[in-house]
Amino acid sequence: MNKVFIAWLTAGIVMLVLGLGMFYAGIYFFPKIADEYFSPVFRRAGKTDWTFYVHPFILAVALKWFWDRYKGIFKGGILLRAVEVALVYGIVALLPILWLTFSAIDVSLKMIITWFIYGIVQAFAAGIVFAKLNP
Amino acid sequence: MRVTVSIICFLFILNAAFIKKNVQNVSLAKWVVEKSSSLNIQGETNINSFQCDVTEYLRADTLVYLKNDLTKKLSFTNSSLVVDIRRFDCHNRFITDDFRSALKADENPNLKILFLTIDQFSNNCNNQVVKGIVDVQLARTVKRTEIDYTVKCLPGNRIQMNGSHVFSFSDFNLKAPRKLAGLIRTKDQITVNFQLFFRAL
Repeated sequence: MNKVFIAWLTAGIVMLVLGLGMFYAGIYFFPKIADEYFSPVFRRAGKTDWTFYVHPFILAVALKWFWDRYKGIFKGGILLRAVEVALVYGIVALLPILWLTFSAIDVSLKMIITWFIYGIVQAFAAGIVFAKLNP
Repeated sequence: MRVTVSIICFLFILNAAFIKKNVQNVSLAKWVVEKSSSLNIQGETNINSFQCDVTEYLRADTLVYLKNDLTKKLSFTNSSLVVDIRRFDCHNRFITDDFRSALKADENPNLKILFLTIDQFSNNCNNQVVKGIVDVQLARTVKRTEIDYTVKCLPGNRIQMNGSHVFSFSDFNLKAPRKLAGLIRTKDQITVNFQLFFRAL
């Protein structure tokens, strides 16, 4: 139980830090895309701010369950297993939900692509943590 | 008793003369605000800087003032410029929408600049810098502000007044836009630049 908790917490913290790093890198390298965050479709900062910072820990719970359930089918070294986790997450979860987001909400394709990359990289990092701490 | 009456009479005459002299030195005049007047607001976010413009002044407003020839001070009487915030264009549809929303344009669409005084205003005005006091009303909040104008006299009895002032969203009890849990934010300070053209009547 303790091992599961540590793996979840570590994955959550790593994804949070990585997420913030990628976000600021995105602002720096792609300011035009980042301007879109001023769109009215995005909620103003306020009482729900905490939910944004909690999202990596929610994702860590889902990926940890997925890892425990299916880790047996991921063969190879740590990096290869992490890549497989990231690709499965990207194809099964991210792609359909981002497709739906693009169809329903006024956000650009470029913005959707950044979210897709952001999610894949986060899942890759979580895969490394799980493969290392709970092989 | 006679001395007292004499003193009162003397003071009365002196006062009357003083008032008359002052009235003689005060004249009423008017400026019509020309359509070519413009106003822009410059701000910064943690992504980019932005500029929102209103490039045309569509109201036919007139500024009425009393000019004191001795002090060269202009005292305005109920004279204001009203700018429709919904006409601000920030050259980026997301920032334009967000900026209007931050200024609560739907509830209070007008930015009102009430002219109060301008000091040391002379008719020989080639890039002279004068100080003025205005009340800026935005989102139901009024802020009294001192502004330095650069005044230029143009042909055809026209006057150009340029000025600039740094305001904060918080001056008007407004919040600078913040998105995505505060990761995207606009700086609280914004610079308001204006270029006003008047025609003297």
